[in-house]
Amino acid sequence: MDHEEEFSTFVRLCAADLQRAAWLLTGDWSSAQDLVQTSLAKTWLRWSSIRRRDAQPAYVRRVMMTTFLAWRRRRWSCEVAVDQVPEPGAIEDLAGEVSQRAAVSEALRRLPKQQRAAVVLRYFADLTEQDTAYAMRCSVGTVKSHTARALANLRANGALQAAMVDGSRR
Amino acid sequence: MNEFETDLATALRSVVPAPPEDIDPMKIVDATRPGRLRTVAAPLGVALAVVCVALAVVIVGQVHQGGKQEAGATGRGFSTPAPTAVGQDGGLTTAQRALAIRIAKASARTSIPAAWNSTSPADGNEDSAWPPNVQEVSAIATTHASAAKYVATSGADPSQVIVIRLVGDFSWDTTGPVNHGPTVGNVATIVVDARSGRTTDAGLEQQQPPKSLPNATVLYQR
Repeated sequence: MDHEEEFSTFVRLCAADLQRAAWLLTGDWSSAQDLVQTSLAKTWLRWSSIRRRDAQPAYVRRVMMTTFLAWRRRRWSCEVAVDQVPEPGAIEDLAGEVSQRAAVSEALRRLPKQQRAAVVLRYFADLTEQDTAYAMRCSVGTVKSHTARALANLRANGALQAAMVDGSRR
Repeated sequence: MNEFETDLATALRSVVPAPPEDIDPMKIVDATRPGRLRTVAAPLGVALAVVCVALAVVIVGQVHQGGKQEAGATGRGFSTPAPTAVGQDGGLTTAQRALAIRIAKASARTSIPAAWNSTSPADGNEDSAWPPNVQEVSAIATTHASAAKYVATSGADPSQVIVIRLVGDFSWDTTGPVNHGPTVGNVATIVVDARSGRTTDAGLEQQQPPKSLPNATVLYQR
């Protein structure tokens, strides 16, 4: 299997999960796809140097987190927390799912970027603290710190708590 | 993982909708393919090369033209700096410049028209020491043969001379018929032997408008 074929297979297997994680990080599909495509393009440029196949997902996650944190640093002044997150596709959706999605998305958007990244990697991507630290280019202790603060912030979010309770009932 | 963390993980996985479209890996591969870069870089490289060649031709042409002008004026080839800007000594050595100033001042002082005699004389300062009838003085180092371009010369030898041109209002007492008055003009040209400092040729003419020596060192400008 040559490099292009191997990369194509990898993208087909991982792209959906990467896009979902990117959506949680960015809050919209346009930015999420932009983030994933940028990360995959950067990964492809170094593809031949990633020798171990099991290292490929970790590498692309690391690139995506680095890219995301850099993006957020540049766009930080543009980011404004709002009370209600716009949800264009919500009209036809079920009310419960929409409200839970909006609550989760809003809660994530209120978190600082490092905490949001830690939560997405730990609880959505189900990474260990070590793998999360590798992806975020920080120490395990820093991951623990970001995660603990993020959980404290999320616990204090009443809308998220209610949405999680409603979700668990459904 | 405690209950809250479990619920959070469940919520995160359940709320994310399906991606609206798949990512085509070949688009990413094609976008970063070196061949694609070459298709962009090659025309840019050719365009850049064309611009560089054009600039080089222009620069070489200007240098060649400047060299030819200088060679014609001085007979010393391209290595001599072009005498152009005001205040620079291009084409004249320091000694030649001093000689040219001394001779030009002496010539100007002896050629002040009668109408200018009432004006104030020099006060000792080098600039103000120029007589009031002088507007501009320029000089160029060249050969005696080449000096014929500027004034009628007595020789066509390759000896080094300094051509000095004064622009202003001049009156020379010259020999001529009975009742012949002084010769007047607004451009005086003096040819001086660069070694001896002796004046070899001189001319006074009326030019409209009066012109300085081309590409010469300007020694004085009012």
